[in-house]
Amino acid sequence: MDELTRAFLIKKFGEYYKNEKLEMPVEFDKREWAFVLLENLPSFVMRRHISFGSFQDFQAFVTSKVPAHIYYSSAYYLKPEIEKMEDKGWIKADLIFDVDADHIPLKSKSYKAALNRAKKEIFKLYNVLITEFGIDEKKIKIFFSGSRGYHIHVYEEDFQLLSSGERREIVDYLTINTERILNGRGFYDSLRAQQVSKLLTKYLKYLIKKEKLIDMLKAYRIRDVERVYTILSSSENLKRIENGDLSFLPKYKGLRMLINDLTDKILNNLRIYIDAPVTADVKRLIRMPSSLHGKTGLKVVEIKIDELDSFNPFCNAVVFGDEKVKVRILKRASFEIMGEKYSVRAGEKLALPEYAAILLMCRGMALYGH
Amino acid sequence: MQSYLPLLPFLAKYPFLKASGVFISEEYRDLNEILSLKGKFERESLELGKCIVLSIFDRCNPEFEEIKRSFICLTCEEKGCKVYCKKNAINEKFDWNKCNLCLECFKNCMQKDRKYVDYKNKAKKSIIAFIFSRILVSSFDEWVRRRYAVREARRYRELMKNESDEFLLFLAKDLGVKTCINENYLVHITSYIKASSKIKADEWRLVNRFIKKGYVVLDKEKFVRVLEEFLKDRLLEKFEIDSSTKKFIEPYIKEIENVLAKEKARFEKIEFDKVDFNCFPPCMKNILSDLRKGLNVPHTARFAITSFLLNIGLNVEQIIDLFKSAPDFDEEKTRYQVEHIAGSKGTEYECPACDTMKTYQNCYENETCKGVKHPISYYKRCMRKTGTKLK
Repeated sequence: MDELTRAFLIKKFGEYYKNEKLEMPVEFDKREWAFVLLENLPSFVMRRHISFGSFQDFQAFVTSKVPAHIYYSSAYYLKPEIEKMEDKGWIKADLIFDVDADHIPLKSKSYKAALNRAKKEIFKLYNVLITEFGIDEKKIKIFFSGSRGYHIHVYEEDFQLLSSGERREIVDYLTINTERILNGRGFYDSLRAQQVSKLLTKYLKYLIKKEKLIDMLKAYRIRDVERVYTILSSSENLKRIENGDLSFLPKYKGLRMLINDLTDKILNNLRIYIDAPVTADVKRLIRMPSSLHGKTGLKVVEIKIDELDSFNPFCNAVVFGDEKVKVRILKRASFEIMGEKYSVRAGEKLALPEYAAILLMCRGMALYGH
Repeated sequence: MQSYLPLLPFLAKYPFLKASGVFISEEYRDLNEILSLKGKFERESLELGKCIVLSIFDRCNPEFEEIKRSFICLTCEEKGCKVYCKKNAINEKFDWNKCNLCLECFKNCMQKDRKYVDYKNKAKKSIIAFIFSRILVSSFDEWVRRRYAVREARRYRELMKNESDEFLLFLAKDLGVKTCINENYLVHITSYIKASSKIKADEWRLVNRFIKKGYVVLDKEKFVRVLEEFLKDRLLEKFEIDSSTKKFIEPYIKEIENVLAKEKARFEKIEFDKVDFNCFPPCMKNILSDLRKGLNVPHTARFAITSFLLNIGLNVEQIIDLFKSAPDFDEEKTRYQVEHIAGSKGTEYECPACDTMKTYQNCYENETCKGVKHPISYYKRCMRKTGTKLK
C-alpha cells in the first residue's frame, strides 16, 4: 500500500466513523479495546489495553486515529486498561461463536458457496442455542464478520460466567466431539445419539422408498442381501432402530460398515463447524459490530435471524458510495458488488465506484489514482 | 416462637448451609465469643470440629448426632409463614426459583415441638464443629484443604442421597445450583458443566447427555453428585481468621501437625519403601501430587502412574492406598483396575512411553528429561546416577 492509497482510506474510514452511528457494546467501559491503525498498514500493529469511559472519548479516538480494525474484549474487567492480563480483574465474558468459511470443509472454493455454508452453520447453531440450550432469543445477536464468516454473541449471564474449561464442554457438544454415539448393540442414551438414530431411520426409509437400499447393501458386499434387506425394511425393526436398538441386526462386517458410514454422514451434518478456540477463550478480542473490516471495507452488521437467508454481504454490508474513483489494478480479480459483476486485470487503470475501489484497495489488489 | 424449627434437623446434618450462618449469628455475637466460651458444650463442639479434620487422615471417628425428623413443611397445611415471604415463593409447594433465601419464613415458623431446645443444641454443636474444622484446615497447605473438601463433600453426598426431592431443591438453591425437578432431575446446563468439567468420566460430558430446553436430564444419584461438586468448591474456600483466633487455635494446629507429619512419613515410607521418589520423572511426580491433593486425575494418567509404579516394583495394595484421596475413589473399582493393569487378568501392562504421555497431555517435560523416551528409563538412569542399586 502506498502513501496515496493509505491517505485515501484514512479519509474514507474517518468520514465513516464521524458520520455513522456506532453501536457500542453493553458495558463498553468495562472492556478492553484494541486497534490496528490504517497509518501502520500493511504491518499489523495492534494497540491494545485501551479503555474508554465515555462514548465521546471513543469517538474522538476513532475519528482521529482512524483504525483499519476495531476490537473489544468479550470479557468485562474491573480494570480493562491494565496490561497484565492477570491484573485486569476478570468479571465475566460474553459467549462468542465464530463461524468462518475457513473452518468448514467445503467442496467448492467460491466465496459465495463458502458464505452460504457458513449461513447454514449459523442457522444450526442458532437453533441449538434456542431449543437445546434454552437461551432467550433476545440475548443472542448475529453479525456478519466483515469478511468470510459470521459471529454469534450470547449475553445471558449464566453463560457469561463460565470459565474456559467449562466453555470447552459447549464446544465439544456443538462439534459432537465424542466416541459415545454408537456401539455394537446400538445407540447411546444421549440427545445427540437419539437424534442420529432418528435421522438414520429416516434415511433408511428414504433409501427403501427410492429402491436404493438393495444396491447399497450390495456395494458393501454384505452376505444374504435379501435376508438383510427384509430385516431392515420391516417397519417393526425400523422402529427399533429409531429407538436406538441395533442388537437384532445380523453381525456382518459389511452391514456394520454401512451403518457406521451412514452414521458418520449424519454426524457430519449435525455437527456445527465453529472455530473452537474463539468460544473457549474468555478473554478474546472480537471485532466491533458496526465497525469496518480493514481488509474489505465492509461493515460488521447485525443480522436478524429472519434476514439471514437473504443476506448478501456485498449489498447489505456495503457502506461507501458510488462516486467514481480512479485506481490502478495490481492483481487479477473477479467479484460482484452492489449487484454488478467486475472482472479486472493487473495493470488496468479504471474508474470504479467508491465501494468497489475501496474493496480492492483494502485487499491490496489496487492502488489509488492513475 | 420456635425459630427455624423446620430447618434445625438439616442444619445439624448439613452445617455448611448458608442458613447455618444466619442461625448461628443470632445465637452468638461472633466467632471469638464461641471460641472464648469455656462451657462443656462449646468445648465438645470444638473437639468434634478437630475430630472432623483428623478424620480426613483416618485418625478420628467423629460421631454426628442426628435429629430424626423429616422436613415438616412438607406436611404443614397452615403455611402461616407465607405472609413473611416477600417473593411469593410459598404456595402449595415451595417455589425455590423465586426464593432468595432470606429465611424469614423459617424464622417465623408457627409450628411447635417439645424437643425444640434439644434440636437447637444439636444444630448449634454441629455448626460450631463445622466452622471450627474449616478454620483449622484453612491454616494448612492447599492439599490439606482439598483433601478435607473431597472427603467431607463425599460424606455429605451419601447423606443427601436419602433426602426428599423437596429438600434437595432447597440444598441446590443454597449451593447455587440452578435446578428443577419434575418427573426428572434437571440441572441447568451452566450449573451442570461447572460440576461436570471437574468429573473425568465420559458419560458426564455434556455431549453425552440428554438436554431439554437448557436443562440436563439426570437421575437422583447424578443430581446429588452435581451438588457434591458445588459443595466441594464451598468447602475449599479459605476461611480468613484474625490474630486472636489464630492464637486460640494454636494448640489444635500443633496436634494436627503431628498427625500430618506422621501421615507424610507414612506416605513416603509405605508407598516408596523400596523406590526413590526423587528419581521419578516430572510427569509421574505431577500425577502423584495431583492425587495427593485430591484432584481428579484423568484415566490415562491413572493408568500411567499405576503401570509405572508396578513396573518399578510397588504392589497392588500400596497403589490402591495412593488413590484413596481421589474424589471419586471407589475401592472395589480401583482394585479391579489396578489388578487388571498388574496383570491378574493375563497381561501385564507396560508404562506408556513419553510419546504416549504427550499425546494424552500428561507430559511435563523439563531439562532433566533430555534424551529420555520412556519414564522408566528416566527412573533407571537417575537411580544409576545416584548410585542406588535397582532391585
